[in-house]
Amino acid sequence: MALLELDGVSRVYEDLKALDGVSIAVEKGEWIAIMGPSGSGKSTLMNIVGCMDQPTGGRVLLDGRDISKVRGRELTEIRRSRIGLIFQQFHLIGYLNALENVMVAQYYHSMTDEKEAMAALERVGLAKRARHLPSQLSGGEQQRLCIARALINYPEIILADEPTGNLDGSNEEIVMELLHEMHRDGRTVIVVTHSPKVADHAQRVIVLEHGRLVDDRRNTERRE
Amino acid sequence: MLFRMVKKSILNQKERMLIIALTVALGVSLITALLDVMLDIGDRMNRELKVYGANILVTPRGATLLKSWYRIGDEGEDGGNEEIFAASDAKGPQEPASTDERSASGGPAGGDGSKDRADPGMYLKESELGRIKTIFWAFNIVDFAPYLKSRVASEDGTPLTFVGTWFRHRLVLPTMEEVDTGMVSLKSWWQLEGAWPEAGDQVALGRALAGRLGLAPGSALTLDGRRFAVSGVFEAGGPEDGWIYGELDALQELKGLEDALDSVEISALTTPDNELSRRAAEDPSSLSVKEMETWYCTAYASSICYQLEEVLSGAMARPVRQVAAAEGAILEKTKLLMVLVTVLTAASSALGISNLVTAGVIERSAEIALMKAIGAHGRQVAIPVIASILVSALAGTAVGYGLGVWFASVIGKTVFNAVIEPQLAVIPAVLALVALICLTGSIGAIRMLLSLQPAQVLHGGRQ
Amino acid sequence: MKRSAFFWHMVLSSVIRRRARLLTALLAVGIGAAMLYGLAVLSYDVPKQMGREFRSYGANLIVAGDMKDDAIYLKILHLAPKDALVGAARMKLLPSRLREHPVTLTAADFDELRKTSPYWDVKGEYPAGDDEMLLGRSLASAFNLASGDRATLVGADGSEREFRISGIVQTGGREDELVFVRLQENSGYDIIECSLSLDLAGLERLAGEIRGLDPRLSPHIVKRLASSEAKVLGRLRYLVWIVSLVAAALTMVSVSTTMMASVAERRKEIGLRKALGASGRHVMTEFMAEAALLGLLGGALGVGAGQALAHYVSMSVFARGAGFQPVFALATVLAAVLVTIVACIRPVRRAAAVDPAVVLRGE
Repeated sequence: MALLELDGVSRVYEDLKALDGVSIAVEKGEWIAIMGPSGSGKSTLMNIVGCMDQPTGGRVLLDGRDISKVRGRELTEIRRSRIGLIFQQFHLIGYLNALENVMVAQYYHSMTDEKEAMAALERVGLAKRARHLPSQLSGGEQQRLCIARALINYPEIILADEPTGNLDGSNEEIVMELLHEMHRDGRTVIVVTHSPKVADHAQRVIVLEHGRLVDDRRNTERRE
Repeated sequence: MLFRMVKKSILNQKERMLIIALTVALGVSLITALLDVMLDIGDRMNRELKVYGANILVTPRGATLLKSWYRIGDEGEDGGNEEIFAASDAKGPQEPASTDERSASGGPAGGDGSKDRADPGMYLKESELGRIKTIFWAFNIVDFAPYLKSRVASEDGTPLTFVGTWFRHRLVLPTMEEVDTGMVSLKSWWQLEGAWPEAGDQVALGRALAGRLGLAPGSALTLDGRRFAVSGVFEAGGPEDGWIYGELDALQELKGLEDALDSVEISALTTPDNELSRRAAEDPSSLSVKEMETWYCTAYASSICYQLEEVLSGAMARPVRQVAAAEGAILEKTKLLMVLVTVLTAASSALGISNLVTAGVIERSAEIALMKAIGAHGRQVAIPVIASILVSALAGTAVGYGLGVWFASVIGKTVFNAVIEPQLAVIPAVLALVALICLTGSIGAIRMLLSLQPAQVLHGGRQ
Repeated sequence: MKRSAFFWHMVLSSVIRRRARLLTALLAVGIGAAMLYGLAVLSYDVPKQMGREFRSYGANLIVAGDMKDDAIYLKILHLAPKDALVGAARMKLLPSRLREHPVTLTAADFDELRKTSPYWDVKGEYPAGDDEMLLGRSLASAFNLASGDRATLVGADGSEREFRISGIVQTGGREDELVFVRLQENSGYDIIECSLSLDLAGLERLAGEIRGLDPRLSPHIVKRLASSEAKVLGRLRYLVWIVSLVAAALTMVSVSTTMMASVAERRKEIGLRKALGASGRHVMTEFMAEAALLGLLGGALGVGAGQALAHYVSMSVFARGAGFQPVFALATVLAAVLVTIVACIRPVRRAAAVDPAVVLRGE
């Protein structure tokens, strides 16, 4: 059984069809890149998988359980325990320092554990910057902080929306390397991107256009 | 382009602009209401203070002193004045008279008319009373009542004090206007059982006298051989409790004193005394022409007295200092209090609005930095921002003014049972204040933002 | 760090590290609280202070009786509530003759009389020595006497005494026809004029107590003053309360609009927190705690500022400071906390109800 299965998922915003009958099955431990031009429905797909939005049609199965009809508190529960999110705009809390930003995720999940949060920062190379506020960090550092935050609760699925969209080449490499590390640990990684370079790291590439699935292929020349 | 930018910026910041408009509306309504109340408070309180009774007393110029001598001389035989103290005062009736009268100086002045019947100069003329409402400050005369006091004999020959007055009287003025006036509204603290006399053959008795004579509303008594019905018994808390009150005409007829009065009590809205009025009261001829004009055209108790003396022949008008001075002190305090409360409230409302405006500008820091980055001058950046704030503030002011006028009328109605007229002067004052607040609030913030480097503001993560 | 400790750490960080932004909200809450507290103190204080001003209408309780020594005077002073007593003047009335005309000579306690009858207008001086007298204006003009002149008074027993006229008194009332001299110590007196800032009920209670002191004493309440004062003071109290109520209500509404704006500004942060796994309740609790902290801080600052305002107003109008009112202070802080919390409920709930994706998208 696939870890995550989308079965004819549609999402309609008023009169706009953002997703139109998309079916994908994601196995545990897979690394998938979702590609497509702007407005193709990639972000909508990511939001649905990330439990931040709900489909208007079709089913979303997580471990065989249909979560497309789950709402409110329960959905929050699923998001909190199984999914780690990484955003293009980082979305850090400005008045909390790096360490505290990681601890916020712990706090909502279960318990806060400073040592563990520190270890997560160390892993992304930010141990020395733990007491800095986001505004004092560079873009690359902010994104690494986001990754540390996404990792902290050991989610099964890492969901990254254009994680390198705001970064330069060298920072992009660091971030991709961190994603590889997470993948090696056995996590399922889903990256939404329009950069072929980023997509090259994935094992499987899915292409959307106008809300429809137009391509689903194995990446034969995967960069490690 | 400017118009478009302003429109867009208002629509874009819809919520913020709405909140600015709302806060301005609240602040303006508060300021408007308080200003309207403040500008009217003197007049309102002045009217409230009328419950203390007359603040001007008019007596015949020639008679005042002579009569008071007779009154003092009479006291040995006139037990009527001292009822309230006599009961327990071991000293006897003659001495405390002056003090008990002092404590109730609102009572009719002048003494026993019967002694001076022969001399018409001892009296004021009833037929001239209408002239009171023709003086410069006629509008400020709230109420007045004439008095004639005389000694009458009861059936068994006991001398009693009879005061003739107007209770509720409709007076037709030379201008054909009609005025309702009389003693009843001047003596708000008197407690009446029964009714005030309405006809010449009715009288009201002071409680002490009624008790002594064993009379109650409904009974009758004979005075100077004429029968009167007791319509009511009153309690004044002063020497009047030992007197009989009846219609003025009835007493004039009884005593053959046609048209005669020995005092008039007047309740007038006055301006608290100042240096000028005190000097004028001393000697009006010491003033320069200009000072005289100012004094004459200000509603000081002394200038009203002067004008009364001009129209009433042989009259001497004096302010009753006990009422006039205290009134002045209380009015000044109340006004000052309202002014301070209004100013402080306006200041804190202003601070609140300017605080919000500043926050609204700071919220747009990124936009302002961007405009500067793409090459706009300080003024080009500032004008659309300020204009959009001013437009919302103006909308708020319009709503707030209407609301404020309504608040003022509610306050007027609930507190004073009177309408508080909106003052036109408040509108420009409020508009100027709002403009000033918005400009200082926004210009300061924009200056601050413009002094920053655009890159500093645009760098992400700045909260 | 414990989980609950981290909660407070987060809330405090938001308050401390966002201080520039928070200043707006803090200022708004502070101004609101200052208005609320300041006006409450004034509403409470003004009628009391004004009550004292009404004493310029003169004595409102007259005690008559044959009093030989100061024992009764002292007892009455003791009976009267200390902070209500403005003055109590003893007087003795002596029938006399001035140039063959009967006049009432009033021996009075001038220090106290000036307190009970502040409306007297004296040209010249109050008598300083026992051989000086104050003459009523009507008498002065009738006999053509002026300050500095000498006049002889003949007592009821025929004894003659010469006085120097130290001043002329003018009131527009009975005093204009009286003569005043200093009251001799231990000479007895028959009237005490008391000026008390008490309402009618208070005066009646005191009158009853005085009657209980000695049945021969007869205390009289000057009804005219007591009942008029009750009317006017009632109006004034009502006015101050209603003005304060309107002002406080409007200020509180604008505090809540400012709070709403400052929460609406943070919609993105609320979305992020939700994306990280916060439930609606989590977000609500955090923001409410923050609002409570803000209300507490702003309320406390406001009470300080409000006390200063009320004191300033009271000083300038009544030349007497306004006391600190702990109950009002507490109520003000509570109201500030309540208003900030209530004001942020709606915007937080609205932000929390929206799917985080919608908030996080774009820009």
